[in-house]
Amino acid sequence: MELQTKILIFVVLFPVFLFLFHIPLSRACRRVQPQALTILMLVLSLPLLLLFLSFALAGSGESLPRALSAAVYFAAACLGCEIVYFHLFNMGETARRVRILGEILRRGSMTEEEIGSAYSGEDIVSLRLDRLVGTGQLSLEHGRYRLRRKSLYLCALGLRLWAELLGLRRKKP
Amino acid sequence: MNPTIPLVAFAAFLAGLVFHVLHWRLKRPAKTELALAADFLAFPAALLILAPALTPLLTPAEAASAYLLHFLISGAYIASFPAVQAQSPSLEILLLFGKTGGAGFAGLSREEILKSFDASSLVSCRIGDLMKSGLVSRSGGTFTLTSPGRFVALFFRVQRRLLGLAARGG
Repeated sequence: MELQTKILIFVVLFPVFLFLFHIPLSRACRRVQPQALTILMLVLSLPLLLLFLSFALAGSGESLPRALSAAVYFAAACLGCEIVYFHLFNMGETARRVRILGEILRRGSMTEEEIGSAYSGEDIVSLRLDRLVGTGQLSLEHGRYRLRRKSLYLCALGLRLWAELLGLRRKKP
Repeated sequence: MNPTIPLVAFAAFLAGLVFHVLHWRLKRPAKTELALAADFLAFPAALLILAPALTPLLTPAEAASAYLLHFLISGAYIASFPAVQAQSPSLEILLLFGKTGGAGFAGLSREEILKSFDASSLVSCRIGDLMKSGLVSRSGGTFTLTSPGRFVALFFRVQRRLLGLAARGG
């Protein structure tokens, strides 16, 4: 089978492999913060991806430029898959819209007050504070939160700059 | 693999990105999802369909491979876009520390953090977004799911159930 075909088949099936691996991992590690576990899984998949690429390239007989091109394609495609996978998982875990849809699905129909009772603004902020502490972005000592890691904070700054570049008037959360 | 394939894919993504920035700055689209799909997926697809006719560098199969890579990179950007467009409460919490932090910073209490948000609009603005996206409809004072809304809700319910997670996220 041609190298390009092998890579394309792998890339198309990669999200399915990720999900099939994620299911037993998530069930076995329930005490681990789900987002942290998902990121860990995606990072740990990198050596396996490298292994697949090495095997695929080894028997291909491609010239160096074509082999490098295949490696760049494979790396970019798998990274794209992983980012989409993480966001799709994260939506189920954190998105307000998905939570609201789930509440309405459960009850059939709801008024805005009923939605607000089931899922209030205070719930939203509290859940996120717990999550930010759980993922190590914030620390909580003596009832006060402090920034512990700057990684997500710097992402937040970057997103704000990008929103300004797009001329977006930021909606209040 | 033909080295032109990843180059064309990245070039298509960059072209989509430039078009997207200009589009949003000139007139912010009413339907974000459709606009993103047009900027990143439809417009480059049209270019790539024409590519083999315009240049001998790509065969139709290679143009399709280039489009797949472009699709995945664009998908990563589109999936990240909600955090740009609608302020994420998590990121807004973190940005509070940038405004208030510094030497001798004593930290923020839960109450101080809660005060910086308009609690009622945290939910109401997202209900509005769901209505704009056609996932929820309103009749009188009651909200119900549309068929697409039901599909999305069920998708995530099944996803979370399979992963052994609590039914409710958020």
